[in-house]
Amino acid sequence: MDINDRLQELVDWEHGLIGPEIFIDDAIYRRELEALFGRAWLFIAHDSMLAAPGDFLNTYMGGDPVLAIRQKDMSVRVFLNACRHRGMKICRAEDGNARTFMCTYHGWTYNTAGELINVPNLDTAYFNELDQKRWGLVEVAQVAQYKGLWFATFDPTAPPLEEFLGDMLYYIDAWVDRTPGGIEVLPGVVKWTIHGNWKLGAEQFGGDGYHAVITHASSLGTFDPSFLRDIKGIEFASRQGHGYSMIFDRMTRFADDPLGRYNQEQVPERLERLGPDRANTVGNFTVFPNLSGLPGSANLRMWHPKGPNEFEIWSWTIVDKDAPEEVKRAQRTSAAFTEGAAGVVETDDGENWDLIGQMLERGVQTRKMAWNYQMGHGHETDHDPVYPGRVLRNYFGEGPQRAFYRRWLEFMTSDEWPRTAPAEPERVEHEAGELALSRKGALRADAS
Amino acid sequence: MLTLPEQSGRARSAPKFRSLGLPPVAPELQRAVEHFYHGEAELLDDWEWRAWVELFTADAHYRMPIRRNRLRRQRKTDEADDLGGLEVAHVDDDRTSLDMRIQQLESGMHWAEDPPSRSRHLVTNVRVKAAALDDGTPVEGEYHVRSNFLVYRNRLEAEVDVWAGERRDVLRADDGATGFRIADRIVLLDQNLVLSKNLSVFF
Repeated sequence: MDINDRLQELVDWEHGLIGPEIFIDDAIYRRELEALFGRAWLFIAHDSMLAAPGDFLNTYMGGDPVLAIRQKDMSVRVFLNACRHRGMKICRAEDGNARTFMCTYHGWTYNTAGELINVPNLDTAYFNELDQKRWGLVEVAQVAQYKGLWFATFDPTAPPLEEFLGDMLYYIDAWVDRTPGGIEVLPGVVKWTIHGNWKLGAEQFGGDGYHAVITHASSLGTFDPSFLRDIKGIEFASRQGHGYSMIFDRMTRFADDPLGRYNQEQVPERLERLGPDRANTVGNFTVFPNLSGLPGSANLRMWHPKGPNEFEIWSWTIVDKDAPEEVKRAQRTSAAFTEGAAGVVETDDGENWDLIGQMLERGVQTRKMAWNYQMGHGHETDHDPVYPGRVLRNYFGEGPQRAFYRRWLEFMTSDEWPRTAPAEPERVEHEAGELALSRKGALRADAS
Repeated sequence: MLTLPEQSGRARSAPKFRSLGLPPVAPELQRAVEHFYHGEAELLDDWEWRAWVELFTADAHYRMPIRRNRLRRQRKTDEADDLGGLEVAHVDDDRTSLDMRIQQLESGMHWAEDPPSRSRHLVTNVRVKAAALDDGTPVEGEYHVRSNFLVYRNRLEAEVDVWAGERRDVLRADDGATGFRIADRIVLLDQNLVLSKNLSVFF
C-alpha cells in the first residue's frame, strides 16, 4: 500500500480513531523527519537563552542537531551543527558563548555567522585551491521570532511564523506577555529520555486534561484535592494543530511562597494586560508539532524525537523577567518539585509513555488496535464568543488531539507545504478593564 | 492548599573537599559513617521510605543539580554550583517537600512506584572530614562526607536503570538509634541527559 493511503487509513481524525502504527513504524518515522520536521516551524530558543552576541545554544530540529547563535546585530541565526568536511559536530557544548567553532576532527573553523574562516594546512593540503566561501555551515531556510520566542524552519516555502502559530497567539500571549518585562528562561535544561513516541507527549500536553485525575492522583490529587475537583475550563483546538487545555480561576498549581504572594500581587497587572478570560488561568498546551508548556507551572519544553520509539524531553523553567530574585528562586524550587525527570507530577507520566512504547515495540496485535480519540466529539464550536479556535466549553475533551493528528496527516501526505484556509477574521477583543471590573469579585490568585 | 516552604534556614551544604592528603579520620568514626550509609541504603531498598526520610534533619536540604556540557572556559569549577539558586535542578527539596514525596509514595496511586521498583543502593568510597567553619573552627559533631553510589533499578518486567554518582552530605551526630542525621545532601548524578523515563527513586 502507498504510504499516503496507509497514513489516511491510520489517522481517521474525523471519527476519532488512530492506528498506533504511527507511533512505532520506522517508515512513518522517517517520513515524519522529512515531511513534518523538515517543513514545520520548530521552536529554537527564547530570547533570554541567547542574551548576548556570541551566545549559542545546541538544540535539535527533528533528528538534526542545530546550533543557534546570537549575532552582533542581535538577530539569531541557526545552522546545522555539522562540519562541511566530514559532518562532525562543530560544537559539543550545550550552550555558552564563543567567537569561533572549531571542528575537533580536522580543525575546520567557523565564525558565528557560519563562515568557514580557517582550514588547517590550506596550502600544504589543499594547494590553496579550496574556496572557503563555498563551505560555510548549512543554514536553516527561515528564522523568525514572536515576542522573544525564536522558531526556525528548513523549508523556504513555509508561510510566515505568525500564520503558522495562527489562533494560538491569543493563548501564547497569556504567558509571554503578562507583565511589561515579559518572561525569561532560568539557566539550564532538565533533559530526560522516554522510550516511546514523541507524539505521546505532544498530544497529551495539547489537550489531555482527562489523564490528570488518575495519572496524577498521587501528586495533584493528593497535595491539593481541590485542584482536580470540578475543574472548570475549556479546550482549544487550532486548525493549525495547536491545542490548549485551560483551567479557569487558578494561577499556580501550588500556593508557593513567596511565589504565591507574587502571583497574587500580579493579578491587577495581568488583568489589565490580558483581560479576565486569560489572566487567571493555568493549563497545558502544545504548539504544533513539538513545543509544549504548563503556564501554571512556569514550564516550557520540547519533545525531541530520537527514533520511532524514543524521545527526549527538554524542560525549561520560565519566570517573569522583572520578578524579584527570591521569586525566581522559589519558581525554580517549585518547578523542580513538580516537573522534570524527578518531579512528583512528571514521574507518573514517564510510567505511561514508556510502557506504551514497550508494548508497541514488541507487539503485533497491539499495533492493530485502533485507539479512541472520540471524547467531546460534536460538542465543540468554531464560534465561541470569547475564545478563538475550535473550542469545547469543558475541561475534558480530545478536540486538540484530533486537530493535532489532522494537521499531522496534512504534513505527512502533502507534497506542497500544507497551508490551511486563511484565518478567520480577527475577533473583537473585550474591553479588558471593563470586564475585569465586572468580574473582579470572582477572581482569585489560586484555589482556596 | 499546599504551601512550599521558603528557602530561608537552608542548611550549610557540604563543600567539595579533596580527600587525598587529608589525615584519615578515626577508624571508629569511619566505620560509624559507613554503617549509617549501609543502614540508610537498606531502608531505601526495603521500601521503608518513611523511616528513611526521618534520617533527615528538620532543616535538611536535598538537591540534585543538573550536569552540564560546556566549553572548557565556561565550565563551572564545581558541578554542584547552582548559580545562586537560579539554575534549574532535578531535585531541590527541603524536609517539607521530601515529606510530600513520601506522602505521594504512600498514597497507593503513585503509579511510577506502585508497584515499587526493585532497587539496590551500593555506597562506596566514603570520605569523611570533620566540618569546620571558614576560619577553621571545628563544628562539633558535624561531618562533611563524600561518597560514591551505584543504584540499580529493576522495574515491572524488563526495565533496568543503572545510575552512578556522588553524594555530598553534611551529617550531624545524633543521640538516637541511627547515630547520624542528614542535614544536607547534594546528589551529583553522572548523566547530562537522564537516560531513564524518570527519577522516581531516592539517591
